[in-house]
Amino acid sequence: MRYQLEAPILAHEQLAEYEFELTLDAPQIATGAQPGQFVQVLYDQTYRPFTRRPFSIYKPRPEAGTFSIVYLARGVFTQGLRRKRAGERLSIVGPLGNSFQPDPRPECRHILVAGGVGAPPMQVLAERICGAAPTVVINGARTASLLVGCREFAAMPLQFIPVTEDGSMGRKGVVTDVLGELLEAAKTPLHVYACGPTAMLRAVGTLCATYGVECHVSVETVMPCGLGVCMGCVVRVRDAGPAGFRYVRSCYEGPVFAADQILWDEAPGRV
Amino acid sequence: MAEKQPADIDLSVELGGLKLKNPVLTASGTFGFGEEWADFFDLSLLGGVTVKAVTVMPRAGNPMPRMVETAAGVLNSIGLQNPGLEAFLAERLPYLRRFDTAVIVNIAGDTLEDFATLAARLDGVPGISALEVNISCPNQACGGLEFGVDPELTRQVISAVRKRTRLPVIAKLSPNVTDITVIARAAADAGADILSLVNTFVGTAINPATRSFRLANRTGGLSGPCIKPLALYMVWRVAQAVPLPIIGMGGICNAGDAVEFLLAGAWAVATGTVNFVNPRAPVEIVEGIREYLRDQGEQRVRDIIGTVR
Repeated sequence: MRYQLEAPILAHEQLAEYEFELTLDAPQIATGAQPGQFVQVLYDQTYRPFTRRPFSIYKPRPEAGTFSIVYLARGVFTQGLRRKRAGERLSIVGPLGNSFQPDPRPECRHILVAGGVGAPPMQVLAERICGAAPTVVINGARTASLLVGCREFAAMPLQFIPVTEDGSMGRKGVVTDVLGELLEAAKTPLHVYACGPTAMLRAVGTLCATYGVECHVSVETVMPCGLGVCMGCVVRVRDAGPAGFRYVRSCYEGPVFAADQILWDEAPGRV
Repeated sequence: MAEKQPADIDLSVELGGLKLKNPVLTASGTFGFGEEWADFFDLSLLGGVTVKAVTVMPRAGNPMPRMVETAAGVLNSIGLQNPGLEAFLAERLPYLRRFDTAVIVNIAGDTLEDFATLAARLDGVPGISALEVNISCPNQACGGLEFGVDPELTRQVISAVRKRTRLPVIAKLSPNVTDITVIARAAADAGADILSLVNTFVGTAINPATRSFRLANRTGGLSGPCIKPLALYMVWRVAQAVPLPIIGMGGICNAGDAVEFLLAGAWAVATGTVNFVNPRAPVEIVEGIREYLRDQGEQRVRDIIGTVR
């Protein structure tokens, strides 16, 4: 069930220089949300901005009836969103999209790869699986202040590997450096799940294909409606038909796809 | 919602053989095939649903990026992505038949034969209330010129559909013309029962940082509240010039906007891009029109249609 709500803002905190976490009172969404699902957000009714923007559901807490979104206030929309205060309401529609399905194989080791603000769905997925199965989280960003969810990942029973390009936290490098080592050393079946920028998803998907490891990614695209009707968020995937491909809606059939189904040459991405 | 509606306000309209319980429709391409809306409201609350354009064969659609936000609107170049005529009939139409609402099928093609094929196949199919002919498609036989920007091509395509269906025929007019009343008359002469206007305005957007078009197809159709005054003007002009009922659309976001179109001469209205932003907009507009009539001391919506001349 998808809901259109005016959800009260319970908290709005700055996490790092541009990074904010906004917590909403929305029991309908907190209760049913699955890892990888998102909400469409609108904070103003003045047509500026006109369309909603998608944000991954973070820290869904069914018992409290709350969830969060995390964003970087770098664009026009997010700079406007930043002005919303606790006590005000935010227009949201959700939960939307499909979700990550944990690999059911009992001997499977789960590797979660999070890039920047792609961390929220990985956090939701980690909470689902980390107690029951061996889990690794590789959390990468350009610099320490852009890493999302370190405290939360570090507190979970899993192997947490932060990675920064400038070496300001954890390993210096990129997430695929660490992923490559794990894939090379693997002795048990693996399943890789990833969310982050398109270039990272493509690199993760390509690496997994090289090692024959199953990989699911949550794509980042523009989503003008998020409801499955505008066809403006499509992703090109393999198809058995004569054209060899078809377009599927990242907001409706996605945002989670098997990495080997995506034709990366026309990669999903922001305009 | 239904129990709050007083019986004293009559929202029903009848236009060109199409009976609607209220004058609010959804515009083609902004409401999918209705199934996507199951969680938001009961489709039976609407006057009707206009489905996404259907072509004879399935269409993959255009490359990405296909849509970009502009000031108070969006530009789109989707490329008529749809499952094709037979898949529509087998997989999509049965869902819509469950609701007590008019189902209008928007048809699109590259050639006159495409339109003829679509009209013939859809004629007599239970559960379809009318055909809306998308004459904004490029005509492959005329070097890609849109049917709807030329009066003779408009006449030919509407005539081809008219001959093959008993359903009410709606001609959906393009606004990308010098004088829309010329095209409206051509559609009327060829046997259209209803005119719907406007389709999107051709536009584009450029990214200065990359020095490239923001849409893969370079140009697209502009919709949203930014086009409302243009659309309203065209509806008013056509209402004065051509004696056919009009379905008005273009940037309608709330009941106030919808009432403006009714006053300008539209017999019904359609919500388009606003559906992306506010999924409940169509039903809020039905209620808002009712409140407007009550406030104005009117009993029947048809009494206000075209009263601003």
